[in-house]
Amino acid sequence: MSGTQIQLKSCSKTFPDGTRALSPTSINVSPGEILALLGPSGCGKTTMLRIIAGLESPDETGKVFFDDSDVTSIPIEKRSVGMVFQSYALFPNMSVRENIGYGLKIKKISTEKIRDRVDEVMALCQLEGLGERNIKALSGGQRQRVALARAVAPQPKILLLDEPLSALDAGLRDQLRDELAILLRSLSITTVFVTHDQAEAMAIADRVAVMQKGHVLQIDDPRKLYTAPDNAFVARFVGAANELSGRLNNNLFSLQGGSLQLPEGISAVSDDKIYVRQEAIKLIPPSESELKGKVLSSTFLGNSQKIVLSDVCERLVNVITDPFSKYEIGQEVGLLIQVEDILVLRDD
Amino acid sequence: MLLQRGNKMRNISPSFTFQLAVTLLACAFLLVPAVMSIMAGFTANYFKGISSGLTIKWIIEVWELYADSIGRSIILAIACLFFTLIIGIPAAYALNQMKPRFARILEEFVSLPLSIPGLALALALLQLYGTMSGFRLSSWFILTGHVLYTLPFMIRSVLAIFTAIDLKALEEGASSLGASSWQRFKDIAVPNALPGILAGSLTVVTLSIGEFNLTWMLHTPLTKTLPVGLADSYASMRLEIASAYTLVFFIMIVPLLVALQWLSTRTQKIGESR
Repeated sequence: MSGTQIQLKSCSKTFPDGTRALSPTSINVSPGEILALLGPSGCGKTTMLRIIAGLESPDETGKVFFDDSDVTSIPIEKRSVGMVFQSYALFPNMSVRENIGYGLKIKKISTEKIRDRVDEVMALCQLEGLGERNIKALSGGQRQRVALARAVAPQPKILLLDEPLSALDAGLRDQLRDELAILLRSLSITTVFVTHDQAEAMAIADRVAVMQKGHVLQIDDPRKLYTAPDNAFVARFVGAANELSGRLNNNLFSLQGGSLQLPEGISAVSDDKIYVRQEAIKLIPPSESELKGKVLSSTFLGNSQKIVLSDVCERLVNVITDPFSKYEIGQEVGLLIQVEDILVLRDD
Repeated sequence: MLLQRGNKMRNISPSFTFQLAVTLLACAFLLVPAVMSIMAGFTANYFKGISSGLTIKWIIEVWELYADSIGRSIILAIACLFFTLIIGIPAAYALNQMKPRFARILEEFVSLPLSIPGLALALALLQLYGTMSGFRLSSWFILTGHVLYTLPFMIRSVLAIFTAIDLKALEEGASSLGASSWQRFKDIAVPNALPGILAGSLTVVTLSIGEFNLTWMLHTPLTKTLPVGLADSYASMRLEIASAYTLVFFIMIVPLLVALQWLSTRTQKIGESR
């Protein structure tokens, strides 16, 4: 299975009632890459996936390329895409084996070859022994795996997944997320998947496209997105961030609880806000810091501890710290923030 | 569970007794005429009562007089089913794929024959085709009326199950695997809609066999059907024969109704399990 490159060239989508689901968007997905489309519901991510699949056509100016061929006007059944649907869309009138083999049967492949390929895919997706089962007799996790097996069995050029894990319980979802990440990587098919869950996007994808209101705000690898988001929306969507508001004077940022020295050239901050991740704030004795706050609560989380501070700025500040240091409620603490952890962001 | 029930049995409240009495009374109201009628069909002389003895000679006589009407009704019902199937299933499939608003308007049009009295519908057919005497005098004329009248039931039944199984999603799944629209229709749509198709079929057969209004206007003395023959026997035969005819009608229609009931509960369950 070699990778196919996907290119979207200024694809937009306006529905007949006038709603703009997707603003003109151009993206490239490299051969073999796994791209996540991440965003809240209604951000246009599913529309984009359906345009790639061929279930929706882009507005007139848009073009979709698989490698060098323009597939814009080719219907889904001729695009050779494998797709996993949010509802899985498994065929209730067929057994597990028949579901997985359906795409091969359509291709008029011989019965023995279908059997071999189905066996192979079932082993890959850990479905051994379930071949004769009825779809209704499967658990949620098994259905998800059958849907994936059915999509990859005909060896598609690209694989598309629409919220592949959202129909599962939270516990199962965590487990299957890791399995899916390993499986997709081993397939090395160009993959695009849609999710609203940042943990899922981060765990599975090579690159994540964060979307909002029909626009792609940023496409980057997960670490870059987390540490260097382009704007406040991305920063908040890919992980919790504290918003600190104050007043910038030369390079000194003054807040209710003290001040922070910002590096040179950062003065272009709009709205006088900076963002800091929860785990980037260290708590030190108040005497050692120019910026102070008061402990409002501490919550033991097992592998970490969450401290909520008041009196730092107008908003409460959340800090994730080591689990075993004791903090009294009302105690005054100092905040230590490294300059490189300060996110200066355009507002959304 | 059992214990609870036992407790309830012991404290039978007056309101329960009252409800039971009303229910039994209503049942009697509905059932006694039917039982009387059936008994009349077996009684040698209804005016003398059961004391005149039981007989099946009336039933035999009905068979001799009206066998061709009964046969015609069965053939008509099967032919009607055939046409509603080959028109109704593709029509429902097409409606399901259309934009909802457009599909709703079309569905209203298809259902229009239901809101027009059968007599008016028959009159329209007579006005339109009455001069084509070959057609007018054959059973095909009645068949046309039956198909017109039963088609909406088939379409609605199949359309309902297409919605219940979320056919659109299933079809998207099939098309992503390379299936053409014909393959999707025969591999996915029809097999998964079978309970709805069966329910629709039973409705069509039951309605076709029992249809009177339309048929009465459209029939000729040579193309009588079961219900038309029934009316005929009520009007012109002695009471015992009419009753025996009713019995024959019951025997044919009741199993169909029971099967229909059973199927529609099953179809509902399919809808709910989604």
